[in-house]
Amino acid sequence: MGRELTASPVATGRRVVPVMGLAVAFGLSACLAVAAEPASKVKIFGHLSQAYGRSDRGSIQSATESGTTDLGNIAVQLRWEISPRDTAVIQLSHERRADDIFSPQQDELEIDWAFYQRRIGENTTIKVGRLNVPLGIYNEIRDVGTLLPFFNLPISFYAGVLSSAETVDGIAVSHTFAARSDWDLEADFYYGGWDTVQQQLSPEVDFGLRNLDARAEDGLGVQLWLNTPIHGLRLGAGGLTWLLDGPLSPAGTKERWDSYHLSLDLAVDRWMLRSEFRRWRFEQDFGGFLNLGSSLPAIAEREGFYVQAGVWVTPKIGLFGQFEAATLDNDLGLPPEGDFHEDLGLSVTYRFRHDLVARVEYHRSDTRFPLDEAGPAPRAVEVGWLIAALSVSF
Amino acid sequence: MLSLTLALLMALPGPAPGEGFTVVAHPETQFSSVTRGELSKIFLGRLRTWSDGTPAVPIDQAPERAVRQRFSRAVLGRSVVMVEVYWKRMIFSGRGVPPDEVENDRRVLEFVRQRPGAVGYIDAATQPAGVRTLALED
Repeated sequence: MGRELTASPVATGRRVVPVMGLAVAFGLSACLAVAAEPASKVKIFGHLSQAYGRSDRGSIQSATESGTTDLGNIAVQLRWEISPRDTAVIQLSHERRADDIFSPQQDELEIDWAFYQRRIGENTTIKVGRLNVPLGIYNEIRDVGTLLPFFNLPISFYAGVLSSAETVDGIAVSHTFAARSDWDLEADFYYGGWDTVQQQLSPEVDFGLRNLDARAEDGLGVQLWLNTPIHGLRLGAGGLTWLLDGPLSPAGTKERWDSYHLSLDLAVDRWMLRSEFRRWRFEQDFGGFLNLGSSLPAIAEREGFYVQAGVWVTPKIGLFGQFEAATLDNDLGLPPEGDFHEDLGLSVTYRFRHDLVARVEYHRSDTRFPLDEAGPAPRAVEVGWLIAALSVSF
Repeated sequence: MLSLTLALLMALPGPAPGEGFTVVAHPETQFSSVTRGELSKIFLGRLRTWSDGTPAVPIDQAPERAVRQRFSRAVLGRSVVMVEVYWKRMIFSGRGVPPDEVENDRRVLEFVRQRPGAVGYIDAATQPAGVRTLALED
């Protein structure tokens, strides 16, 4: 089931050119304004993960029944510190995900981020361009294998590109309230749009699901983090709303998506406990999804949560466990409804250094997500799957 | 009388007692002490200025240095490895980069003497020549 890696030109995306132009214009004006500041610096960072995934039934979260190494990612980040207040960042990435209904295959090198950032006063920053979205604990670092307890993020919360946002072409404002207090509050507000997909049942394509290009517009989000006097303990909350404009939406209409979430992030000394809950409410045209040829609009709701706990039993060996679950409902009573996904995972991480990590993880899922020849399972089935990965960052 | 003398001695600015390092700042800083929480936020990139508005410029030491490990535990509340993991998270979320690092106490003192707003730490056995020492408060 593997696909060949191909060398391709950098994808521009539909909206990235004007956004990049705006970011460059801001950057140039900042250069002129700060000519007298200390010398600027350019720094390069990057990360790389390569994994092997195998399942005992169908394809699930990029683990396939026959086993695959078509599973990994690479990113290179260029950070130009124009002045103490002005920074320009560009990050290019490439990702391989075997067969994954949540993350459509990426065949090209993509512009992950490209933004200009200006610090205003002590506690406020503004970013313009293609920005990574601050949403929950992991969204901004979702592919950085050296920082994650498991290779994949919990789909019950992060959900992939289909019902969330990894990046946004737009603007973000960040501010820290009570920055000198033990109880400071970090707030991120962002606005913009991003490329996404709509899915349609299509028996003639692999696994019966076709991805159609769509666009999320007027995305408006907030992420709040309350830091506490306990080192490593913070509490989060946030929300995101957007309009989905795609070929499956009835002509002239856009589907409204709303989500909110809560987070607990505790990483003290050798111990880690993380948990997040997210709830979505969205409009979906089941006529388009089921390829009925007529409109069948519905309001759907989805909930998901996960809990992760772990300990570094030695400075190099970490043991982590994870449980996640998701439900899905709609007001028409159409399938799929009810319990949608459960997963119990265990991982063993060996940290050669802070920037070189090997991990083996095993999951047992009771889920509708595995793909076989008939597409997503009509009823939840049990699937066992494992991933072995090596990750490096620099 | 003895207890009064001890109390007065403890109130004087100086090295963090028993912690094996001395916090040093630019000689013209108006401060004689810094709280552990404020210093932690400065070294973790969460505070960019001193309370008088002067830009704070932290300078770190190489990860393998014993004084870095002592400072990391005592002020940042975590091991050097966990601090490096923290900074990887900041880098790959696009939020910031770690302070510059130098290889020894002498380089720290040179840097701190030259940069207004600079703050660093040196081994408690090293003479803090030409800089201001800051007492560490809880």
